[in-house]
Amino acid sequence: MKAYVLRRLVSLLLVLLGMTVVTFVISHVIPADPARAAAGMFASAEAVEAIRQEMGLDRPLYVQYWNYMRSLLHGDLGRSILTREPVLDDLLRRLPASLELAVAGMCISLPLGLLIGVVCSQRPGGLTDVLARGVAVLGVATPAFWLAQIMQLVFYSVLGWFPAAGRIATGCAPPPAVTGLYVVDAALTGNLAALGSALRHLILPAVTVGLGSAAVIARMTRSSMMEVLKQEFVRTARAKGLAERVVVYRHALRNALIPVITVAGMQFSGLIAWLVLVEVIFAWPGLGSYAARSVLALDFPAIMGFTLLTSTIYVVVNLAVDLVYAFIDPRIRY
Amino acid sequence: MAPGGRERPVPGAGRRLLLRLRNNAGACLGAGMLAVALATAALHPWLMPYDPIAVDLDATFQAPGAAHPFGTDSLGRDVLSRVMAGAPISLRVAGMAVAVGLGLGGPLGLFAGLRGGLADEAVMRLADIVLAFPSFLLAMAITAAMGVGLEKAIFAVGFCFWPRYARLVRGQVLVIREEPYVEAARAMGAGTLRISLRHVLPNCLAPVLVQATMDSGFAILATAGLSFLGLGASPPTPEWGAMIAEYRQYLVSQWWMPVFPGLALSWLTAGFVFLGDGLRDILDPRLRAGGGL
Repeated sequence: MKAYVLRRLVSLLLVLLGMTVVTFVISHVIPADPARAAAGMFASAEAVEAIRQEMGLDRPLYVQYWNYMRSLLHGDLGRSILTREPVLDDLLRRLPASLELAVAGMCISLPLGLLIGVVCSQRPGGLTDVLARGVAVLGVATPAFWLAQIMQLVFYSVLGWFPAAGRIATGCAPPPAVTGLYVVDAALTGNLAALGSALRHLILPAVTVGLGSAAVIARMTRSSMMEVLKQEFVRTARAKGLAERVVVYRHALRNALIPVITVAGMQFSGLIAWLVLVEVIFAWPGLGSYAARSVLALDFPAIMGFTLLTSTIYVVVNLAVDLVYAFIDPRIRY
Repeated sequence: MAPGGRERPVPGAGRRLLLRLRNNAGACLGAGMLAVALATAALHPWLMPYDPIAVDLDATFQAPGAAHPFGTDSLGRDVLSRVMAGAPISLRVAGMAVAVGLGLGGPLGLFAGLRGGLADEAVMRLADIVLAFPSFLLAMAITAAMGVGLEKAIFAVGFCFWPRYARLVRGQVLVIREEPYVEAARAMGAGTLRISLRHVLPNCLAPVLVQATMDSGFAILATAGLSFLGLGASPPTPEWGAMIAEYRQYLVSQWWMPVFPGLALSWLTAGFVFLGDGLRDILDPRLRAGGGL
């Protein structure tokens, strides 16, 4: 097990190194003129030249990469062209908002997806199964940035149940920062007004990101459960006279969870990518809306910093999921 | 032998696939949904009631009705005509993005699988690195670097697909190259190119078809997402993602403007997902989920 963890950590480092090469190529090699992009469309030739020298773009590529890596290792992701602040500071300030949304999304998608998947697997081809699978496909096929607008239309505009945008009501002071997650902080400090407001603001965006993932998790749970339900130990459990509920939830589901956990892990990290679109619509002050603004302004240090940070979260979460297997399934010993 | 004693001709692979697809409800539904989209794309010049980009300031913000079933937008353009004109664009997005992914990943996977050793290791590690990025984010960064435009967005989305095809084709090659008929072909003097084209590629078709169908749906959603962010198609192109972005500000007062392009987007993507699921059930027995839909 130790050797496996070590091997995976080394391969993680290699992948992270490779990712820096990819982000370097995207930010320094693909753009026809990164200095022009940084200076803006209307900058004079002299200003562009000055930026070229300041950014070190007049040096050979390997020197540029070396400097890029040296800065990265010092936690320097560059300075945002848009906010004029260090990119790392910008990202860290906005990370808790995105994390809160992603975690809330998973809190909706995981139980919902598991429940739908298990129910569907009971009678494959039955009416419930057909309907639920149809809904799951629609969940996968519906663009999050459109679903977000429909949510606003129905629950804000028509029913008036939830606010349309933001993280907390304008008149409500955010809770003192403990974790940076408003709902958690408000609960920890006993600030009920902030807790209510933060929850009401969180529900619509969380349901939007959660529904898409729930559909993916439901599809995976269903096929995994159907595989497991065919196995002999399930037949034995039924033959012993165990209640169907015990067979399904105690015996089959535990065994069906392994592929589901992989998908759930990927969904969690994938959620951060889709947050770019959802946060824009709900004016959620997280990493996603920051990235969307940076993209429009061609703010390369910010775009690359965001891509590198979220991709690092993505690979680390996926590695963590792999390592969790050994604890879930005693058959797996590396 | 047929009951009547006469031998029935064995149908070809394509026909067999069609026959099995016919018995899979999900695949039939998906194929039907795609057929509607394809027919709309092919016939839209004749089906569209109005010019999709013609401005009519006397007909702005009209709610859905007899004259304009999907209503009109802020410039008086007919939303139904614009949604119809978006169908060929989204189908082109799906086709081109998959072609880019397959065109890059297929040969790389074939090369890696057949050569093995260092070449295999290099291609697969490169694939791992690209797969380490969430696809949509990588596509967003590449499009931002290359510059705004629908073609660039399609390329960026397609580029993110290549590792999947490289892995898929390489996996098939590793299995197929040990098959006795490939050894026999090699013993008869067939070169690598002949073995690849004659024996390996046809055997990769089934899994590639399933993957390509699934990826078509993702390509459409991702490219629409990029257009929504302002990186893909730009107005007045009637691309569905760009339309949803353009009409977003009218959601509360003129709901029909963003709703119909979104429905069209979901329709087409769901068609690909239903068909992809059905094809996977039929072509890959290990993943067969049963049930059809």
